[in-house]
Amino acid sequence: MRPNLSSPFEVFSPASDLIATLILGSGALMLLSVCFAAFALGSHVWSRYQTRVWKRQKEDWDAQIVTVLAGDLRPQTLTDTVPKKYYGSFLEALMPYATVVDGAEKQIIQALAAPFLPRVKANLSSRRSLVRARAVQRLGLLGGPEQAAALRQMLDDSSPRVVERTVHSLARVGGAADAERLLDCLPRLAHVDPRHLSSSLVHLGEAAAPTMRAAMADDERPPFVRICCAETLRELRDTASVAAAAWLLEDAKFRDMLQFPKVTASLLRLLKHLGKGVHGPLIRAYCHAPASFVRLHAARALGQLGTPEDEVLLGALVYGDESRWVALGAARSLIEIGSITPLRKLRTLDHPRAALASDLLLSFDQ
Amino acid sequence: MSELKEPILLALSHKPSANLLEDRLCRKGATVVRAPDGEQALQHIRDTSFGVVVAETGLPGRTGLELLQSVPPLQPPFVLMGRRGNDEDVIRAFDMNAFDYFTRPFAPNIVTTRILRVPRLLSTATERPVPALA
Amino acid sequence: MNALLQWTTYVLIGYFVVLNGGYVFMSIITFWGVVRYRYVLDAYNPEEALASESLPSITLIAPTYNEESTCVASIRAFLNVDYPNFEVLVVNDGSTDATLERLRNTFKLQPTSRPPTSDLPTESIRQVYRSRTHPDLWVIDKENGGKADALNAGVNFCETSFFCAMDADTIVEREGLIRIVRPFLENTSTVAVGGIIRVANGCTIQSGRVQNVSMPQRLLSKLQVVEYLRAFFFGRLGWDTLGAMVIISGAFGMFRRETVVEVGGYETDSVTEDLELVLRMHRWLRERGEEYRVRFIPDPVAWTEVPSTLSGLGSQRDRWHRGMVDSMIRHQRMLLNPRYGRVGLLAYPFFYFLETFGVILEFLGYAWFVVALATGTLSAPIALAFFLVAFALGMALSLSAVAMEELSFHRYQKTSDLLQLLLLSILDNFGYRQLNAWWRIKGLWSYLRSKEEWGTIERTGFNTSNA
Repeated sequence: MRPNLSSPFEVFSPASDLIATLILGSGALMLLSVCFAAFALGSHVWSRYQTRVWKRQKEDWDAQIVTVLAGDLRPQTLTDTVPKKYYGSFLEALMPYATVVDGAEKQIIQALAAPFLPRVKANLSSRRSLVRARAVQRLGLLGGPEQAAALRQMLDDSSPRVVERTVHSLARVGGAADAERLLDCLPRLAHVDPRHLSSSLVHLGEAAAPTMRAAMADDERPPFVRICCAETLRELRDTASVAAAAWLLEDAKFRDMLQFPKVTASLLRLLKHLGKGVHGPLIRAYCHAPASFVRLHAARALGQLGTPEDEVLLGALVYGDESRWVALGAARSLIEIGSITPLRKLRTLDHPRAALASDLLLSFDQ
Repeated sequence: MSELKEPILLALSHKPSANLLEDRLCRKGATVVRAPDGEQALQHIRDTSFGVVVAETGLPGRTGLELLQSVPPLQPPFVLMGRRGNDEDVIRAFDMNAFDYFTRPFAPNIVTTRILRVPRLLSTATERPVPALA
Repeated sequence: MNALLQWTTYVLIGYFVVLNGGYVFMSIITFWGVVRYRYVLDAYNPEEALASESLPSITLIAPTYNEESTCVASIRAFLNVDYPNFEVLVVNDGSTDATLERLRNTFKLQPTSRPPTSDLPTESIRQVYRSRTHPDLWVIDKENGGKADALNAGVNFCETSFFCAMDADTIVEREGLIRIVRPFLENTSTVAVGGIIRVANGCTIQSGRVQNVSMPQRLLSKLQVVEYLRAFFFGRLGWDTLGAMVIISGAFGMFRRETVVEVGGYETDSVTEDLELVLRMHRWLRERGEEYRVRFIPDPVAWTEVPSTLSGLGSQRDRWHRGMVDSMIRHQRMLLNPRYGRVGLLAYPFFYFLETFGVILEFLGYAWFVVALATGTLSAPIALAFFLVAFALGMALSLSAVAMEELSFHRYQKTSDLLQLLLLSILDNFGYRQLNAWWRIKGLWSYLRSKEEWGTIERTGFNTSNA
């Protein structure tokens, strides 16, 4: 039997209790609101104060850094004036210059940062991965070779984010001798874009190339590592790696290479940039690989290394390859080797790729 | 060293680069004018005759390449500052008659020398008589 | 009659509790996310990232329609983005004004051709142009087909792995591109990333950059600043922290081209093609069991002008809600479906019940209060107390968004601007929120009646819009 209620709210509790709860609730929320507002205001006042105080200081430091870089002031003279507790801000003032200068000036920046880096190093043992990551980043940007030892230890960190940052930092600060260890860490970073890693590994320099070449050729290594090596060697413009790449692609283990299509693609890219005409025949075989991106890279490589003899092969790709990207790549390569006839012919036919030929030829003719 | 009769325009929005280059160029006796964006740079180029213009490819308002194209070749000569990783940009800049191109990060001494040699090279080149054509 | 009112009460109160409970939960998650993200940003230096030897090429796709007064300034702004290698594809969606002429004259466009890389169906392309002064700027002139159609046309001509979909009048900050590409580099399974949209009204814009950040003049625009802070801090950052991001704004988002083409591109039938695309991507990728990520990060910033008149704003919100209802219904199969993971179990129900259809309940709630008060079934003190809680909660949430903004980016440097934000956080519950609910109801109604026109917003020109 349902009780006869005079108000829906009575099902909960007597009206006055309800009002009390509601008022209490809103009171608590108002208090919370006041806290948020106070926090916002406090935060605002604090950051404005910081900006005002630091603006002049940073301009001052800026001018002095430029003077030190010019050689008119000894680094130590400047660093002696920086109170130890402001090391963070001083390092932040140095960072823009660290990314602008190269060579001898870079070493001056490192000399300016050096007295404060021990504090940064202390953060390497923080419990929080983001704090460790920040320390690693600072050391990589502002540190010299003497920081390499500390960074090497971070390669075994539990957080992949820290390991990734360490790879970037150690590649800059360390030397060719670190290449092996860095490559050993790469499998943990297989989620990262290989070219993002290789653009840092390049800083290891030509001296690291032998290690990279060996790893690239080693089929015991995970494909990801081999790809990173191939990309790094390409960016290093290491011509000696061409022989290794060619050997891999040519070796009777042709079928094996196709098991690692991404590695194959990277090798083809390497050949495209650094190879010579003699590698043309080798590349041709890969124009029929099952993976479309392998065919694409092979076709593009022929644009650089092919001869007019490759006209038929490339033409066939333009006409008949199921992938439009491969067709496009092959068509561009035809233009690059100077064999436009297949495209001119295609343009006149009633063929799905006629428009592609026509589009490319138009900009070529212009 | 006052071979530089004409001032140098630094059309750079990146302050640390601009600070550095201005400092080095002034030490070598050059007069430097700074423009933090493309519109101001364009105004300066129209009002003053510069010995060299150093322009950033990614300058706000008008890009370095745009500024380059707004003047006749080498009047004034342009040295462009760009980023790593874009070879096409460099080729394009030279196709559009830029005198030189350097990327960030750079070695300040080398870049300063590259900038300062521009007026000197140009004046040497124009002193040589141009062979008559046909 | 009493029983009906009783049940209505339970449902409305239940909705209220769940909705606000959800918001409170999200705000706690967001707060944690904001604090954590500060550390992430501390370890990241965009200049260092830009000094990298090689960065992936990016295409900026900017559909434009009848923007003759602002297109040149906008495109200039795109060209000034700080990134080593990118292309700008402006898609002129059959403008009937002088947009194409302006672009042609300013950028010395030359007719050329470019082979498409994909076949998403679009209205026909009239002509492809390339700028002689800016070889990285291309203009695709096509027959009118709507924004989604224009975006698809852009995607068809995109040759890079990633593209950035933008509104033509969005101003991306200089560091915007390098920041928004970061999640793609750090994880190859990333398929889409959204950045934060901020209100440009009232800011000084010069040389394609926001020089001075300031609150807008008009009250309606000011209220939107608070609203956007709430939306982005709770709506996006919170969901990103939970790993269930479902909205990436069409004004600024970066996508992996291959995935977008695979799922079929933007849906031309939708007025909120941005939301619909991301939902479809979630669905597609989860159905195939592929590992993927959709992210929101608050450090890449894009500024956009918001409508400053009631009619402009109303029609925008009407359209947004219409699109949201449409998208939510289209992908209903994800609702509470464990196959779709956190998206299906957390984000979808939240948006479906609370944001989309919940507005019916919200509206009913207001109506009910009036009825109940009038018929005397609800005593005035209880009604007042209830309203008090509702407003206090709304106020607390808005203020917490402002607090988070101060904690993280504090873009509003002037104290007077902050005070305005605080005041508006209190006021926005007294009218603005209700107005929004009304527009959303209209949107829902429009959907049911399937209206298909676009709204219009008045353009006040680009530099220093003081609206």
